[in-house]
Amino acid sequence: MGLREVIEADLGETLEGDFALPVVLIAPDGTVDSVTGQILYDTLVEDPEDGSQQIVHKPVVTVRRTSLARVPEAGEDWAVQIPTVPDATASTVTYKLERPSEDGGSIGFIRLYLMKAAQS
Amino acid sequence: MTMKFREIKTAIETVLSNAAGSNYRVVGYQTQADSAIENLDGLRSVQVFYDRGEMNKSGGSLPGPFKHDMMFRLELVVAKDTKGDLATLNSSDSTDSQRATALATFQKAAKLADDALDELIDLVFQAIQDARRIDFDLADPIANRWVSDIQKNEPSERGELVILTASMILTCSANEAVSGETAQNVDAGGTVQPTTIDVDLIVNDDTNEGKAGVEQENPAP
Repeated sequence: MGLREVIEADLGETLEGDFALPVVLIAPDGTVDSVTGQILYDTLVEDPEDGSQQIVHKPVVTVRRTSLARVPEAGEDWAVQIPTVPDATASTVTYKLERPSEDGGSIGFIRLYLMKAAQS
Repeated sequence: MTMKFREIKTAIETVLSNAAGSNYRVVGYQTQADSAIENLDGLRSVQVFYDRGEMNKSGGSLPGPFKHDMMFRLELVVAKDTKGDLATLNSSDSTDSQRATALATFQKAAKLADDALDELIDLVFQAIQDARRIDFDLADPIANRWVSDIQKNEPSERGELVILTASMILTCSANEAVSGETAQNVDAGGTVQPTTIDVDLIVNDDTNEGKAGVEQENPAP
């Protein structure tokens, strides 16, 4: 087994192990895919105006590509349901997918950046 | 006596507040930026700054008044989330085609923010340029009141929201005056003391001296 295969196999533990949280993806065709993954609820960003570090509430979901029925692509309309807090039994909230990031594609994961959604 | 630009700044804030209703809010000076959630939907904000002033020497004289061409900057901020049919997405009874339709009809946050900012610019411009408030309800006249520039900035992501800002430049002129008031007399402990004036008062004993119509004894030749 090559190094990439070993790393991909490890995702079963790092992303889908004991600390995994439930993630529901709704594809553009309306199909629903329930998986598990890692969720970071807050993100450290740099303010472009003054360079200061800020913590913003912006959930980022990391999931294993091989666990997905279909991999989100840029420009597609997806929705993602995650727990409101880092607890698998908590109530869920639905976000709109802002963009997927393929920067981990070569070793088997994909990051999903989410946008707050409200009822129209 | 305060300088006129400070009165005008407060008057602009009052005019905007009176016209705000539930459409926006007028905020005072802040030492740090609002978070995006504080500007969401009806919480969008307008902030008034005195930006710069110019006093041409040819427009006044040393005793005053001083013609003050002033520039105010109005900062407008809106934040938006995406909006769509969440109820359909969240319902377990929805079919795939219903969810697909709900996803396809979501409104993008950047578009909503752009529309909301356009509306906010409209509301603020109408309030500021209203001819009925030509002097911003102040007693003294304000000349050359004019919104000279409107600048929209690029949308930026702040967490899970999109934030969009604009600035509006308002110019006007007014006469400043210098009161000539003396500074307060503060002692070393910081207590304000009454101002004292030391005057040597000379009182002559002879109250009739130098007065007209008073007989004087001429000295013997």
